[in-house]
Amino acid sequence: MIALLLPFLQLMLKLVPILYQIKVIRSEEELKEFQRRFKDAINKAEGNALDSVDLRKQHKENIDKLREDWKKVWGNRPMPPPQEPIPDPIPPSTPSEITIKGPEEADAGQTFYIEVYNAPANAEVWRDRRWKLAEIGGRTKVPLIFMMGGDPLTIQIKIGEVWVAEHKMIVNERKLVG
Amino acid sequence: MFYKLLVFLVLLVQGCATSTVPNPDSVYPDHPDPTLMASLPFIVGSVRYEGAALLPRATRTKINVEVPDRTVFLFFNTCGREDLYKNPKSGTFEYIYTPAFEKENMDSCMLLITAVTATGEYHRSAIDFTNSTGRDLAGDVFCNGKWIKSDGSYFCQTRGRPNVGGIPTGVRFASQVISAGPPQCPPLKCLSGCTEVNGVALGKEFEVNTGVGFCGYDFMDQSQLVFRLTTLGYTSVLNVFPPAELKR
Repeated sequence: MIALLLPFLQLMLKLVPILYQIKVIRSEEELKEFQRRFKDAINKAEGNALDSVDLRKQHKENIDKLREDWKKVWGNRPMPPPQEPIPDPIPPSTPSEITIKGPEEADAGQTFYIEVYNAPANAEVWRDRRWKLAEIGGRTKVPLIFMMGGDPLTIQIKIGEVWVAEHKMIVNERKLVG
Repeated sequence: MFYKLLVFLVLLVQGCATSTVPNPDSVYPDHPDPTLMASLPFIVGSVRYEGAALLPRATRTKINVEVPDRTVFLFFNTCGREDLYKNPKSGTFEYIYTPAFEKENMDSCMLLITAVTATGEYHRSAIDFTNSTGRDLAGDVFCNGKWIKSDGSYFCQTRGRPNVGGIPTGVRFASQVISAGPPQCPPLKCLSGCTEVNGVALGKEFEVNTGVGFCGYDFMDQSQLVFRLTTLGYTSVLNVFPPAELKR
């Protein structure tokens, strides 16, 4: 009995996806409804695509209006001094340092690259510059210049063509914390 | 016997298929054209964001987008670009955002991420960037039940409503400021420190009933420091087919 049923069950297994498809899109109306929904989603996505442009225009027009209003309100008065002194950012000529621990598999003297993600916009990062590892598994100081702090950075280290290490760190205003 | 078994199996398969068919009529029953909440998750650094975020502006930002299953289009839009990826693999999609100098790397150029699936689901997320120069106007923003201190800008997503506005978003400053908002969005209401000089309204604390979609408001103080408030009001959180148990 089981031997007789086996070919039939195999056939049914092949039929299941077909029957499923037939059932998912049962009618022309339903097919049209799915097409409408997909088109609606695409329309929304395309509308969303221009939101950033529109929003920037809103803010720009606001700022233009505020500059005009500012003249009406404060234009004839002298500018007040800043309420509190603003600390100077790190001068670009005095870089901070980051200590990168060399990967265990690297040879002393081997060169490596660094890449920095999520660095602040005003950070100066030396890309495509080679640094030498001081010793196997040792630590090498790499100067970086960061003006401001921000979210955790990700620094990736490349030896040859291979990314070998990744460091996450918080950059404070005046120092780097590994 | 053989025929009965065949009929039974066919009915069984048909029954199983029926239980997984979404009912199109049950989607968006109350909102024929809803503005959906930005809820597409993504990871920046080690932080996972649920659709909306305010990040420090960076030369490069690595964004790992959690791509929904069966995504056919993945859009990355700013005020100056559209990057489109077709049929990305489900899982995590790594996007490295390098804003173009002076075009995207400036105030108010949001990064919007949109995923459209083969079944017509629509997911999106919105990322605003702040320059954090330390020379911006500082303010306190009331957003979704919390007061948050912020320098220069804030991005608040909450429930919006057309015309009269939705859940209020608030902002307050240490000294009087002037304000501006777009005419198509709900107006700012001054709550404290409200005066008028030469026909221009000043105030220290403001509130707006959040409108639908994106609205940008700006504030300027006597030193010409600026605070930028962006609101994103949604009318529906439903961006996927309803679960089987909610179907009619």
